[in-house]
Amino acid sequence: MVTVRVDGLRARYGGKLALDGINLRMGAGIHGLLGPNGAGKTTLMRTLATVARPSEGSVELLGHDTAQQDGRKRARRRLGYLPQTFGYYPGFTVAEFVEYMAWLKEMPKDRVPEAVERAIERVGLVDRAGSKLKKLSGGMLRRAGIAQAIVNDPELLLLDEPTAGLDPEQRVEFRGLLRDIGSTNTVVVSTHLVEDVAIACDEVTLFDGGKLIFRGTPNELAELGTFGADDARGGDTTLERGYTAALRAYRERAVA
Amino acid sequence: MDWHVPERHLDAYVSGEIGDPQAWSVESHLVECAMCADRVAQTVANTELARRIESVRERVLSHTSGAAHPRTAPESRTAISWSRIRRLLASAPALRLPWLVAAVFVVACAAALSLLSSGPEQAGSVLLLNAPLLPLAGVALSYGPGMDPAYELTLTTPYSGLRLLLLRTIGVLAVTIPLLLGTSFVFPTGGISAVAWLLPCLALVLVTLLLGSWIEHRLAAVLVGAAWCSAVLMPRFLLVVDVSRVFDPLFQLIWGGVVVLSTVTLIGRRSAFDRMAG
Ligand SMILES: Nc1ncnc2c1ncn2[C@@H]1O[C@H](COP(=O)(O)OP(=O)(O)O)[C@@H](O)[C@H]1O
Ligand SMILES: [Mg+2]
Ligand SMILES: [Zn+2]
Repeated sequence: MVTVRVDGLRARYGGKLALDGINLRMGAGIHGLLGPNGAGKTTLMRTLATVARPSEGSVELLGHDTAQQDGRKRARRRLGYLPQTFGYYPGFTVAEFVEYMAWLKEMPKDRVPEAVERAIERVGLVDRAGSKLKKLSGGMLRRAGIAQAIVNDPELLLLDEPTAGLDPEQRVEFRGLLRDIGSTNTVVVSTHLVEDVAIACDEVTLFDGGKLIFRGTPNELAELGTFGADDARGGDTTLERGYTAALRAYRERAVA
Repeated sequence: MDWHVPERHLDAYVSGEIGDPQAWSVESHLVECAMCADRVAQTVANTELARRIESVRERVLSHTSGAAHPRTAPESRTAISWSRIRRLLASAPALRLPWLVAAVFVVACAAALSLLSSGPEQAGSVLLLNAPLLPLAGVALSYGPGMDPAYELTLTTPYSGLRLLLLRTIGVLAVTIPLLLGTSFVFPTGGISAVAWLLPCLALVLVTLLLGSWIEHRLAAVLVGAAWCSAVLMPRFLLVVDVSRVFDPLFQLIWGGVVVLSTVTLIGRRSAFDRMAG
């Protein structure tokens, strides 16, 4: 089933196009948004999270048209979002913040305490549940951010650079969590790390300069790299070479 | 979960008019989907079945532990609770302790300055003219990008932005107004009622909220504050005009009108508060 339907999406900052004519369909599974800094990943995430208004085009989430206020409200109940810069209240504890977000998400009141506990447990922060957010390390903060995103068991989970600040071991745990959630729900993860995509994602969407330039499985992306295997410029792994090959091909075409 | 029981199956299931295979499909879904289970419960509650279930339930319960468990009332999604409200408020910078300390300090300074600059007879009326600005500053600090660290996250929730904004505004007013009232009762206000500034203050705050539906909330507060300064404070202090007329009954009528008009318009603009401006 299609849970995300994006048609002819354009986003502008002032006069500058940050997203240029994006068409996308996504269903259950883990979708990686990959691209260099400035590619437009965050802009797309914020649009999918219903924060930013598209300049042009339509965005339908979980069957609701986000141009309508009512559609937005319905979609938001089933949405989870971790912004790239996770803003939080320093004086709140982890549990208080996650609970606060559960309220704002209008979860039935009697289900909140259990949901908060479970979300904190899933990100492995149980022993810090009572700590103030300002006392947490960068990696812990990210995990607290992920906990608030999943507290309502979202059918559409949007995570913008979720692995930033996590150490290698935490990354492995995080990918496990992703697979767990992604087996039934739609998870969109943006990253500039090819490695994240290789291991965790069912599908990769590559962006450059606000345009969608590739869409396929991680294997298909890696195949692009095998052609220039003797060309050492591309990177260490076939996937990295596929990534650079796709970018280079697109940029050469754009110049020509 | 990407499938939920369609409305018509739900009705058919509750009224018993559903076929076996479908009933089975509905039931197996209800086991794992609390949302649909709730929907069934609500549909049942709207039928005469509800009374029968309740009476059966009572009979069953009378055989158990004795003390009948009260049927937990279906909580409204948005039921008001104090701990909730406290947290919704505490997330606003203007309602945290350091800000409160600063507010007390500002009021004390304003009072002292009024006393020093204008002498004991004038101090009270000067304070009245400044009074609307403190709540306005608090309101400016309570909402919006740059002020509320989780503003972006808040926007992605179904909770109404305007409701959150109003809640925090009330919080700010509930703290600053008593503070200012207390001070202005201490100083003689030269025949002007010590509560005369309340209506203009409310008008400024509401115009700010309304303006904030088009431009950034903080900018709106700065503009409105600046307008008050140039229309009232500057004439008073630079040109030494008697501006206390803004507290006259006629003006109070105007302020009241502004309050009513901006409230109505604000409600009409509520959808503007659930996305980023621009
Ligand atoms: N608030 C903003 N104002 C102006 N330009 C912006 C803003 N945010 C992003 N941009 C620009 O839009 C483009 C896409 O940025 P972004 O979506 O953050 O990319 P990514 O997340 O892929 O790094 C970049 O060129 C960036 O400079
Ligand atoms: Mg980004
Ligand atoms: Zn269901």
